[in-house]
Amino acid sequence: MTKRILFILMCFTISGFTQDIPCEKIVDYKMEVELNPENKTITGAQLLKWTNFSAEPVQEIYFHAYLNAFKNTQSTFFKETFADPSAPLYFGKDRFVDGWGYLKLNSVKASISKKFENKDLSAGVQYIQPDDQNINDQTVFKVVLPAAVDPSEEIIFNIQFTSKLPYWGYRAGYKGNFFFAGQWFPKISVLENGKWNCYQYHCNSEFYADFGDYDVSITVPQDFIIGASGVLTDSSASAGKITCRFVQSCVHDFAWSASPDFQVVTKTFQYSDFPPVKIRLLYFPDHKNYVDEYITTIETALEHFGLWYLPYPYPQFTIVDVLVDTKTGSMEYPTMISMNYPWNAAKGSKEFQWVIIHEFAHQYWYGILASNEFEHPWLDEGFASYSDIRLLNAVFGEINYSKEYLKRRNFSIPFDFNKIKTNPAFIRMNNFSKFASSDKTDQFSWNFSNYNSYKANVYHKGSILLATLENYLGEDVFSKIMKTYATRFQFKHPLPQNFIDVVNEFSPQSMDWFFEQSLYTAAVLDYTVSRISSSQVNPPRGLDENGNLYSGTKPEENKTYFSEIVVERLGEFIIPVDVVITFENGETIKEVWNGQKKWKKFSYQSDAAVLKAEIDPEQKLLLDVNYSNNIKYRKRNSFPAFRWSAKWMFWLQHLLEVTMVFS
Amino acid sequence: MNIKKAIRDGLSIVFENFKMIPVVYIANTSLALLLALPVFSLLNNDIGYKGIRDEMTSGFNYEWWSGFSLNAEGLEKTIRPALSGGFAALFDNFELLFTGKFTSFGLMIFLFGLTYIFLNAFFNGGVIGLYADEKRTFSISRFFSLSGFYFHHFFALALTAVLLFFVFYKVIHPAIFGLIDHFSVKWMSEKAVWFLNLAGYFIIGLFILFIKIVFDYARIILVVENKESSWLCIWLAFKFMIRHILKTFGLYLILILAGLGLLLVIGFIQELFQPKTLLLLLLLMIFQQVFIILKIGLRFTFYGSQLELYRQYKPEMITVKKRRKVK
Repeated sequence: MTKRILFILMCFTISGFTQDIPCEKIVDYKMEVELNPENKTITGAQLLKWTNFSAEPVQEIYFHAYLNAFKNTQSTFFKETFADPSAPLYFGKDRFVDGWGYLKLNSVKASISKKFENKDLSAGVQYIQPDDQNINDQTVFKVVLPAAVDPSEEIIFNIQFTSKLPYWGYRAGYKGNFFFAGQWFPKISVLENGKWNCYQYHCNSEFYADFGDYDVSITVPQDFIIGASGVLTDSSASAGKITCRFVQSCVHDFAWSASPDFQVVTKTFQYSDFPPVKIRLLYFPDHKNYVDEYITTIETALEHFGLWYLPYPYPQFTIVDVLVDTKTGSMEYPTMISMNYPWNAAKGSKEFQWVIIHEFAHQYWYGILASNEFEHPWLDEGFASYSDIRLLNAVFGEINYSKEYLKRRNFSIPFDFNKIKTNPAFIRMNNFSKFASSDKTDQFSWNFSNYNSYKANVYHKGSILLATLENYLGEDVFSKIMKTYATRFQFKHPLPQNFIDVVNEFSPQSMDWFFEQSLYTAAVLDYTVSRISSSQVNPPRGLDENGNLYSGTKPEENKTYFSEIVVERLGEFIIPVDVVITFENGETIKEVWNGQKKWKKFSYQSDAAVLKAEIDPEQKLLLDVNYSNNIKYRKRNSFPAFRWSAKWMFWLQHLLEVTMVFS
Repeated sequence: MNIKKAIRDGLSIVFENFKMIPVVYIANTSLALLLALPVFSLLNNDIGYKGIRDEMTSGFNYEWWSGFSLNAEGLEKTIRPALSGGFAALFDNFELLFTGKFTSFGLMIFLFGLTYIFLNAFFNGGVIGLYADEKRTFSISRFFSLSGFYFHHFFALALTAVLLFFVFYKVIHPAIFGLIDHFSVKWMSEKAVWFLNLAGYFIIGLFILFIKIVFDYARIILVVENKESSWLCIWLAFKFMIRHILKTFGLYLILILAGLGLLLVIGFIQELFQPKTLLLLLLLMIFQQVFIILKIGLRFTFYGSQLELYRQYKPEMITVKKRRKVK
């Protein structure tokens, strides 16, 4: 009861925070829906006003019905998931027995002023498969209109629908009395250049939609607490139920979650002249230990991203801490994220902060700059991953390697290796390197060779190519680029070329060559020191110009060395590199190699032998797939190998003794 | 009182026959060296000239390892961050007992483990044979002679134990966690599920201990009672253990605690002592080898103490047998 009173109080406190944010509003959704916890359905009505901003009349309207991805194993989502061994989404029979998910259209009516009024178009609904002709996939449907929507004309849809949440579904689902509704309602597609940009729900793809206003009233049992996109403006209770109304303008999707077990914490973020942001956290009691970290991490992100890119424009940000044992996962939605994190995870790896920052970064690169995640997934995931690296490095410092012992479903004993430090960028770098030549980065998300390659080339390469660019152009220039890009394309649908144009605007030279290689090819960047040698220069022997034998000095008196260093480009990616040669007397020489040829030889004659040669000593080129071959010493040092093989031998000796349990 | 006496007497037997420990230690070290040498060679070739060698002299370079591990094959897969810590690599070994993933370090390591098991089936005959002998006079020839004498029985016991554990990890282990998943699948509390899994691992541990103790006593009975049938010895050992379950488990748990104590000592030494010079590295290696010797000594203390515990109850066992004969 106390929880309920607090909740209603909060409803009134929050109301009035809704701000009208200027953007090109193409859609206007008004939905009234009710959750039925018994049969796991959401039934409701959608009033959708859509304006035809194109220059052509439109006779067919395309919609997404994403929940149908979970209708059966014949959907494109499931087919792709099952076909890809590296896809993480395992749906064993034990995980999915309790029900499939679907979106059922009960009726589809539409009106166009002076043309037709509340016309029932249900019979004209057709499921289509624009991507793969999989006739069993029902994640896209079109409605054929009796009359076209003319340019600048509006159409109002009145759609009655039932959404059945899947059991432990991906991004949407339920477990017990926890419900998560993501991609749950009929969502109109994006009309671009007179064509519908509309794709099916794929294993490796996310979303794309137009900006507009959402006004959603959700009815749930009275003891439930709701977390949703937007701001809670009012609520009313009757007959054991509560209806909460969430409103947000200038967003392109709407998600929500409900459970009676949620605990709620709110805090208002205020910094400088940034608009205030109410942070609302819904968490399960098992995760109480994370409450402070949730709030402080989001505050840190709001501050830094506000300074680096642009102030967060919405009045509220909601975090829904989901049950770990569900597939709703950590995911971004406009003004809301879901976080999936175990209660006892290792602290030193800072993975908790990492994931929150990553999901929050999507508020910018998916939420505010609504790029097309189907066609250019790296524009969101790559930028979000770059932003998480940047913030982690700036604020949270190095991270520890950690390992989970006895790991199995819902169980692990984490162990932090405090002595093994690393940088999140290096982790992304290494995760990328194995799949460096598998796929190019800028391509449709479901066209990657597999899920691992998608992750590697979209998330990891997407981020480290930006980090490499930052190192190449310098922090100041790159900061201006990111800020300009964010500001210029807020509430728009930017394309890769928009970003490249901004880069070229601030860069002293065109960087097209960099993007051509890093975005549009799978060229591998790998430079190595392939040979390093020094030899004492012997005095000349034979006859001098007078025909006498050279007397010369003895070799031991001659302290001159001839040194040669060969650096090699192992991959196809060409980029200028610094080469630093260090001599045994401490002297260093810095060279710049343009990398155009396959190799380059540097020769020196000096009074000391060469000690080592380093390519890219400042490690600017994070795209280099094998940094360990960038530095080579002339002489071998066997101590490290001895040290580690001694440790290894002791481990094996102990293991052999442990096997005595089985004797 | 019985446990205390058994341990005291067991320790005394081990000290009287301490010369057996180096024999087994040499076997252990030789096997480990056979694989450590190629590991040294591959590491020397990989990092000997590279820049990361500076970091690998005093710590561990995660970036190098991440790249190295991506294409690692065979023994390369066993070079991992856990080796850098004081405890982690040792925990890895115990983790195998609880997960049953014995090939996770590769086939080579698995085969070496099996070899060591059967090699010790040979040595254990000599160890227990000598401990059971009233004279307890150690000589290499006598040790090997007893090892050879009991080998076929001890080999059969080791083979049976390995097969039994195989069945355990293939049937009982998944069944335990299958039940846990079945019961907890709809639980809303993450912590409750976690603790249930922990209980599952505890039960796994008890099963392992149970099988281990039965086979330890089977070997003792085989020698002490001069039995011909290994199967019969397993049955008798099982009966003995059930009849004296508190004593047999108690003895084992006390000795396990001693083992954990040893592990803590070497773990902390390794944790605190990160050698950066050859001299310090050699010093650490001495500590490590002392630990292995003590570990083997502790294992022999298990045998000795169990033998003594069995002897304490032997009259009773004989009485039981006689009664049955009278009937």
